[in-house]
Formats: sequence, structure tokens, C-alpha cells
Amino acid sequence: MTMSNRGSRKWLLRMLGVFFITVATIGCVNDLTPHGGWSSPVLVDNKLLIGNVEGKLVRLDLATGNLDNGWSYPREDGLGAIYSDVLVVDGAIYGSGYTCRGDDCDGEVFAVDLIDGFSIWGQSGLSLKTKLIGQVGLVGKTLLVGTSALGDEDDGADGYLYALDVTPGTSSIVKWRIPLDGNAWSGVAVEGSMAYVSTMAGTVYAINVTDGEPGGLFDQNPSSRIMWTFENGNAVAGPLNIVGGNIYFGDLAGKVYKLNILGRNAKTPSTDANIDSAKIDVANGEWVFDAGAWVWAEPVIEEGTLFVSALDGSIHAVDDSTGEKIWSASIEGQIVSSPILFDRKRGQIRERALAVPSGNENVWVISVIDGRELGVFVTEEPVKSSPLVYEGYLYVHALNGHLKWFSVDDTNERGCVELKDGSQCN
Amino acid sequence: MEIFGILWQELIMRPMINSLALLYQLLFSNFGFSIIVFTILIRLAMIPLTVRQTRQMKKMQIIQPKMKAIQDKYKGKSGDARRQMSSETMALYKEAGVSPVGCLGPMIIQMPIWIGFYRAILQTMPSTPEGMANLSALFYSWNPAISAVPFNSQFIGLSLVDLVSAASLPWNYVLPVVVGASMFLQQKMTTNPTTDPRQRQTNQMMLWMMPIMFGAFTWQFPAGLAVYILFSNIVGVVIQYYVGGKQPIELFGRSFLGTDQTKAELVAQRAAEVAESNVDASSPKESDQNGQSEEIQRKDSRRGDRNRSRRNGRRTRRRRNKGN
Repeated sequence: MTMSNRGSRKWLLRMLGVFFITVATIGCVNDLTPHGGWSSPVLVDNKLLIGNVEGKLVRLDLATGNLDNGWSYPREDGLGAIYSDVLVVDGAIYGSGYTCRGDDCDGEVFAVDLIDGFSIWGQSGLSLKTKLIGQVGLVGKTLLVGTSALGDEDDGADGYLYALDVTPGTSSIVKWRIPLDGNAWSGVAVEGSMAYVSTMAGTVYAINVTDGEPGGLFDQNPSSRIMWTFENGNAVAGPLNIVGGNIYFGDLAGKVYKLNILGRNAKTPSTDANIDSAKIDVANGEWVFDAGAWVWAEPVIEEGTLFVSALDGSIHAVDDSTGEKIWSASIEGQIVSSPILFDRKRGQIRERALAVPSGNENVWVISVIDGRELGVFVTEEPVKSSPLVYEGYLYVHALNGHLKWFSVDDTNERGCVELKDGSQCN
Repeated sequence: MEIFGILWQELIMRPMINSLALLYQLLFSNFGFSIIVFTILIRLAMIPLTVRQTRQMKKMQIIQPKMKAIQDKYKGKSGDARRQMSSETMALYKEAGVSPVGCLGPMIIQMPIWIGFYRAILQTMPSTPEGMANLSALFYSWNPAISAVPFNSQFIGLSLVDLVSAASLPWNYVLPVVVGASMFLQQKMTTNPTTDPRQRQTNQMMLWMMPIMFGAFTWQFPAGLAVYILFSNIVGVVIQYYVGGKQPIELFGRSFLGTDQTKAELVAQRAAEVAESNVDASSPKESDQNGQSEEIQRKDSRRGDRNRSRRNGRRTRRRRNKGN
């Protein structure tokens, strides 16, 4: 081998080294790209609406088991990633999606006609340069959307609550917005004229979303809509659940809270100095439960028992009145989305059970009585969305983009469709 | 293949992520400080490898003339002669205590640590829901920092997770330049002089190409990674100064203001040429000579520096006197 050949080989090896470093780095940057696939199926008129892994809202006809081919939103390129379930009210579908290239994010809030799949605002939805992760909420004709920081506002807040007008033909979509102290990943929960949103900075906001007097205090200073806040100091990433005048949520310190929102709403900043304290009002039935691991999934409640799921795969049944643990169980894999309660038939006996989606694979069936494992719906793929039970079938959106359905009673698979193109799964 | 994934996760990623998170909690919830301190700790832990690498490179440099002589001896020959050349080369390596991969070994060991570290930076500050959910599985259960997530990614006006190109002025321009300059300086300190003109040319090209390329890549790196590379280079320069005895400022200044070769390098080159002419001499003697010539080079270099500063001092005094 001549000296010059050896020199070129060395040079080539070094260039290859640089190339590999570049490829590895690009791989890392790809870690910054959202993938979605967490959207759960939503039932409307015997059809399922699901946000697929391309960021498109698609519709499955349960009568035929096929996708409605002419129906999707958007019609062309998808929004990137849809993490939340859509909301369907009065013939319209509301939701959001986003994509990021590096730190440059493009989000879209959509309001779509249920019949034809076209935006009620015109060509497309409302574009925002941010991450849109949580579910939207609706009060009257006001759509509420929690956002992360806006990429086109350098000195803006870390997150916002947007109030949008969903009146068809409106000239101005954005009604108002309130700055928040962190990214709002949890989505918006509503009850009456109040909206509740939490942030990754660990604050829960209770916000009055009534229209108010034109030119009044709410118009002059939208932040005056904040009725109270609760600061737990730890990130709240998962959805809030409002049941019976209480709000339930978990945080990334593994704590689950029950707050009495009726009691808190009755107080006003002028009459209660502790309105925004982090204190739990035990006398008003509030409590904190330690789940021992990050809680992302929405806690579900039935007949005085709260079911809390954590990212370490643990499930806890908690007494709603005291916050004391009744039982604990665990499955393999993370529980990112909420389990659902359903009836299953074993022999001649009907029993209540929890269907728990696993971030590893499968949907596990757990007894609500003692947490025993009763069975499994085999998806063979990770599941990060909540299943849906309808007319004897359990529908589940797996992370690989397949929608599978199983018989509730025998847990056998009965069908599978690829949500990208509507083809049958292999 | 799965076993490699598990090993990578358990031996590299999880310890790094947990250390970064723990440092974050200890260092005033500042991720920038966490990255800097962790970079320093990693570089310090690698000092034995760096020293070994430097020694191997020096030994390689010493036996260069002998190697050239062996190559010249078998130039244009093939078959058995080539095999003979290989065995003579290996014998030379053995005699000099050089491992043919000795220079590369430490670098290869360091590579996964560096790649793991910058992956750890990104995974510790995830920007997507999947990244955040995955992070929980990477924490040790005893780590108190788990409840501090999400970590504050702001550091001196930079978002450590965002790309450098998206940073505000002047960081988006300053960071790539500073990363490139620090890399140049480190390269300059680690590159040893060689008698082979082609090799010298290659070294020269690498000396300029790598910093320019890395400076350009930095534009598209997350800022946290750029901070890591910058401080890794700075610590590398300091370590190299103590291990290799080269003056970083002198090297940097000479590269831009005067000849590209330091006096020490010129002396080393001359010594190598002399050694080449005495290639048939016995090896223990040879290595002694080389050891002595190194000592001479160092002394000569120091003397040169002292004389230069004395001359400069004299000139300055003369100018002052004239002014008065």
C-alpha cells in the first residue's frame, strides 16, 4: 500500500467518523419530533372518530368495519401528531394537533363539521406556533384550548388558555387569552361556566369563561377571569376529571389530588386570603394520595372508588371519601391513558372490570373488587390511548396506528384496520 | 441485539440521566451548571485514558523514522517481503511498547460516553409527551430529582433544548464560533508533529476542517449539546496542557499570527530527522536518545520563551524611554 493510499484511507475513516456523529446527532434531534398515536376512539352515531398517527382525524363506520374513505380532516397533509381525544358537540368536532421540526412548532385547533368534515372557520383551523397536546373544552360557543409557549412570541408566557369563538362565520376567532405559568399539557376540563386547566409548572387554574359585560373587567383584563389557583409545585401532565363537584388529577411527583371545586368556587379572592394557597382543605373533603410513581392517566371514579394508574404500571383503588388505599395491583408497562370500566361476562356471571392499556403491549383486564388480573386483550403493540367499549366490543387504538376490536366476553380479536389508509391489518 | 440495548441503557444512559438530574437539584435547579459540572467530572474520570493516549502517540512519533525505514526497505516488493515487513513492524511496536490500536483505544472508549451524554441531555429535558413518559422509566426510584421534572432548560438566556439556530442574538452566532475555536485549540494541542509531509498535510487539513465542520453542525445542535461540547473542549485543553505540556495560548496565537509550528515542534522535527539517519542504531540506546532529545526540546522551548519575553520586555522599555 502506498503512502498516499494510506493517507486517503485515514482521511476517509475520519470523514466516516464525522458522518456517524452527524447521523447520531440527527437521530437525537428526531427525538424532538412528536409522534402522537395517543388519541382514543370517540363514538358518534355508530361511527368512531380517531386522530391517527399522521395527525389526521379519520372516521370508522362500525356497521362495515371500514374507514369512511372520503372523510378525513385535514384532507391533504396531516397535522403531525394528535395526542388528545376529539370533542363532539352539536354536530361539530373540536380538537387539536401539532408538529415540530426541532423547536419550530406548528399547531392547529380545528372545529369541523361532523357531516362533511370541513372546517367551520373556513379553509382550515386556527394556526398557533405552539404544541397542542391536551383535550379542548367547550362552554356554550366558547372553545377553550390550553397551549405551550408560542414560538413567535419571544417574551411571551410559558403557556396560554385560549378562548375561541365557534360561532359559524365568525370574523374574529380568538375571543381572549390568559397567560399561564407553564405548558398546559393536561387539557381543559369544564363544568358550568368554569374551565379548569393545569400546567407543567404545577398550577391548577379555575377560570370563569362567561362572556361578561362588553368593555367590562373581563374584557379589559382577561386574567381577572382567574377565580382561584392551586399550586402543588409539581408538573401536571395528565387530564383533569370533574365528578360531583370535585376535581381529580395526578402529578409527576406521584401525588393524586381531590379538590372540592364547589367549595373553592364559593370563595372569592376578596373574602379568602388563602384562595391560591397550596393547602388541601381536609375539612371540605379534599385529600392527597401518594401513588408512588408519575401519574399521567386521568383518574376514573365509580361508586365511591377512585382508580388511579401510574407510569410504573401500578393501579390503585382509593376510597373517594377518605383518600385511603383499598387495593393495589400492577401490570407490565406504563399506563399513560385512562383505564375504562366495563361489564364482562364470565360463565353466567356479569362482572365489572377495568380495561387497562399498557405502554408495553396489550390491554389488561383487572377486577374492580380486588385488582386481580382477569384476562387480556392481545394487541401485541403498545397502547397509549384509552379503549372504548360499545355493544360487546372493545376498540383500541394501538401505537402502531392500528385500530383493533375484540369481543369483550372472550377477549378474542374480531377485527383490525390500519388507520393510515383504511386497509385491513396483516 | 436486545442485550446491547439493555447494556447501553443500564450502563450509560440511566447513570448519566440520573447524575444530570441529581446535579440539577444540587446546583440551584440550573441545568446549565449541571451540564458543565458533569462534563468536567466525565473529563476528569477519563484522565487515565487521555494520559495513555498521549503516551502512545508520543511513542508512535518516536518510532516514526524506524517505521519509515522499514517501509522504504520493502518498497515495491510483494508476497513474502510484505509479510516480513509486517512482522518487522510488529516487532518494532513490541520493542517500543506501542500498541497499534493504543492511540485509538481510549478514543473508542470515549465515543459511547460522549454520544450517550448528549443523548442524555436531550432525554432529560424532553419536549414531547412520549419523551416525558419515557423519562420516568429512566429514573432510579431513589433519585429525589424525579419530582423536579420538568427541568428548567433556561441558562444564560439560552433554552438548552432548543436548537442553537433558534437562540437569540448573539448566542446563535457566538456559540458555533466559540465551539469551533475551542475545538481548533484542542486539536492543535493533541496533534503531534510528523516527519511525513503527506501526514502533515492531512493533519493540517483536519486541524481546520473539524472545527469548521463542528462549528457549522453546532448551528443545528440543541444548545445544551453545544454547551457540553464547548466545556468538554475547554477541559480537554486544560488537561492537555498538564499532560502534554503545550501552551494553548502560544499555539493559538502562532496559528493566527505567525508560523504554524512551535519551536518545540521544529526541534522535534529536527530530532526526528537526525534519528532517521541513525536508524540502524540499537533500540534501547535509541529510546534513550529520544528521551534525551525530548528533554532538550522542552528545555530549548522554555529557553526560547524566556528569551522572547526578555526581548519583548527590553523593546517595551526602550519605547517607553523614547517616549519620555
